[in-house]
Amino acid sequence: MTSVVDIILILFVYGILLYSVMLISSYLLIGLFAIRETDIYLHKNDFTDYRLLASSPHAPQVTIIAPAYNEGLTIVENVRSLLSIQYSNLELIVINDGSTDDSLKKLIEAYQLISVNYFIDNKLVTKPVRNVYRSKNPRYKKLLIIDKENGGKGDTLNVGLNAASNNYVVCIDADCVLEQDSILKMIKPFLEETDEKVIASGGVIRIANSCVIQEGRIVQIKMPKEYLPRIQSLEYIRAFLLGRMAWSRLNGLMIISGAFGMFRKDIAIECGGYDHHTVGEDMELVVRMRRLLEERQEKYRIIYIPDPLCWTEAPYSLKILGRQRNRWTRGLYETLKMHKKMFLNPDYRLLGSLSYPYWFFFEMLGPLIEFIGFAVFVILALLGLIDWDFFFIFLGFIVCFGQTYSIFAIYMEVATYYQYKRKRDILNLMLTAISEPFYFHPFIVFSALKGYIDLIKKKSQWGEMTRQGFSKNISDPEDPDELEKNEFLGTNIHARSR
Amino acid sequence: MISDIFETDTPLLVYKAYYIEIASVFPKFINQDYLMICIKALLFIMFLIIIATFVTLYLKKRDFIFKHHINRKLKALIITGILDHKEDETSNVQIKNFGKSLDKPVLSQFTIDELIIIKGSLLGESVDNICWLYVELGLKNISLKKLSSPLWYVKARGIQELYLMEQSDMLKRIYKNVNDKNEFVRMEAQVGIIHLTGFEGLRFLNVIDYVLTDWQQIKLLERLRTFDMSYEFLSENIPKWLKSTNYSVILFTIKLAEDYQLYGVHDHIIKCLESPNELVRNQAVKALNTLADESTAKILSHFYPSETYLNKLNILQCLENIATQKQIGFLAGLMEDKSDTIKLRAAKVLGKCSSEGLSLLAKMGALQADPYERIYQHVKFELTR
Repeated sequence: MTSVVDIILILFVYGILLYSVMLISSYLLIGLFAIRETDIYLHKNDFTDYRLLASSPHAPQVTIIAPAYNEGLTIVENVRSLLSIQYSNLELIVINDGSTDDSLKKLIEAYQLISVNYFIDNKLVTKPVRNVYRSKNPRYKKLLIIDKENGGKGDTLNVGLNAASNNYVVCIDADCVLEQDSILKMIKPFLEETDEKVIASGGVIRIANSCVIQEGRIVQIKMPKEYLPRIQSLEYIRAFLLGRMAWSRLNGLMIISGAFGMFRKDIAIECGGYDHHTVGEDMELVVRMRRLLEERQEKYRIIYIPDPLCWTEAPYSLKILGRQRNRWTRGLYETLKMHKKMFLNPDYRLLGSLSYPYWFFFEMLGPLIEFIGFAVFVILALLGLIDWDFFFIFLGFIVCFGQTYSIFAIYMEVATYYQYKRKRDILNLMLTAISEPFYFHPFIVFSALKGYIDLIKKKSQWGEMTRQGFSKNISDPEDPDELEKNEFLGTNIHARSR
Repeated sequence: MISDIFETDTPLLVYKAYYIEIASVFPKFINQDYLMICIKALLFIMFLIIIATFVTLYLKKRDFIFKHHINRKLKALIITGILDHKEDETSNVQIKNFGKSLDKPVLSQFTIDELIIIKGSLLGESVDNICWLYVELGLKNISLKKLSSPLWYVKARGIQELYLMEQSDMLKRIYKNVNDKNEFVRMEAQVGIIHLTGFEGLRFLNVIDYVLTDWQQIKLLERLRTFDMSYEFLSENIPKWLKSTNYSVILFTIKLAEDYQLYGVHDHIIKCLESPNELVRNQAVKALNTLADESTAKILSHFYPSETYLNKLNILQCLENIATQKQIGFLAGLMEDKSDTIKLRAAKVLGKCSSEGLSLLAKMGALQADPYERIYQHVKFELTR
């Protein structure tokens, strides 16, 4: 009997070891691919003058779809910000998903809206549209407001896909702040396609907490002062500058952030639009679009833009952050379950043989394996079976690797996009990276586990995401002292655009 | 050996043998000594990355100061009128002193970059002065060296610098690259040729094998806007380019005809509607929006049934501006289409082409509310906007 236990134990230990080796190898490869892809992108960008596209009559027409639910605090400013985006052939559709606050009333007053007869071709089945509004003011002629019954984010985005007049659609979160040239940068890969059809492009999301925002624009970039948003800044840098860039290099991207992504509408509709039964509708749509083209054996690409294009507010509290990560876990599980046919299926080429298994083993199973490892460790410790010297050295190795990887991501940020220019900020970010394995990471694993528990309980809610709003960060960017300092540090938006 | 046990012993013993063998592997590769070496190596790498990060921060700050400094010096040369008195000895000394201060490659590159930026904001003689300074400071040689680089981005940068600094004598060397295998090198060479010679530079369309992407087409069209249109040159060449074997040359030519409203090539554009390439047909439809004559609406209606869904939508969008009462029958037929989007687009054309069309929509709406009444109300609202 003891032998059997021993064998199980040794298999477990070796299983964990093999898993760790594969995970560490994948991180190393991700780092290498990300360096290559970013290098190519930056060199290409040297020859790009986006202003040409902004003024060209041949620039494709684009529709921005912004779903809004109880965004009354910020909706008017956010719409104003979206209306001022630097792109001439633009249509903006804001969809009120049955908000219970005064979002719609505020929009009607601010933009002089009137109810209109507007025919929407319901190619995708959605919750009923209650009313469509347009502005009496010709200044806002590109604005269309749709009021519908509450149906969730996916359902709301589908209404947008039905109503969009153009074949290129940008799906964003209404509470995000976009860079002025974000649409120009996102549409460019579609204009560069040759034999491979570009079906979607994604942009980097950055954390806006502590940044100075005026009239819906980021006027000064600052490192978040609070620990939680700051560690999420680091997490986003690592995920976007390393992870997504590497997958973009391999053409293996499985996700484009729901906060900011551009799609070809015809393909999105053809594959059925957003699935409103999952809380991970952004990832699920990308996977379904890819699956459709793989099954048709068409050549295609999904492109990632490493420029910081979209700024969002990160949760300030553990409670809200926990809900967000819980939802991400459930969304990932649901997506992978829906498309399990692709798992290790050579018919789906890279998607089936590399992207899907990576997400399955390392993103989905990661928290579970960590938890099981921890549980076994506790049992063995209680039984006195732990070689403590070895344990601490092994733990030190894992922690050091994680920290080195994070610090490398910070280096990539400084060497490329250089958003945080103060040495103090970078040092702060590095200290945050060093603290991550001891506080933030265990919390993320714990939240993911709660996500699995909710899956077992068949809970399918989004979980409320209360935001503080950006208005608290507003300072006076015209203050001469601030301006001078910002010019030197290059944190002023005007200085950056030069 | 495990294989021997497999053949001779019971399953439990097999497992036990596995266990012994596997358990002995672990300490061989994963032991405290090896892990300590790995930790030390990681700490060393982490230390190196931290140093590299702060060195990069320092270099970025230094570059910012360098650029600022060079920009100030260049502006001083321009504002004080030194460049307007090149023969003057004092001016010459100042320019030479400035040249001597560019003793590092990075400074020369900053100067080229700044000259390009400053030139973009100037007009007339000042532009010539900037180009003269570029040559005088020996920066042209730096750009020329880049043309021989094996790295595509260096080569493309060299081409860009030469044409932006108006070095027309380099035309031949730039032209050699219009069909380069690297898309960025050939893109810069093509833009450079246009920049230096205007419409005449479009001759490269006769020789290119590679696809001109939409992005490149936009770049070329925007560059052409800075020149007066050469009607004769275009009229002579457009029919030839529309027959190119490179479909992207045809796409570009159609855009050219549309932008410069070359009504004389209307019939050639109509022929493009027969192209096997969907993109070419789509572009031709868009161009006909501008170049239409009284026969176009009928021709487009003729091609409509054989088109793809997206091109059908494009045809209807074009017809919005050019359809007449004669198309009412065709459009009324489309109101039976299974796609509601097609119905809506057709209704928009009906509403715009004549009052009879709008009455027809109203009648259809009265007969069948969904979707016709809703479509009618939509069109009616749009017409009143």
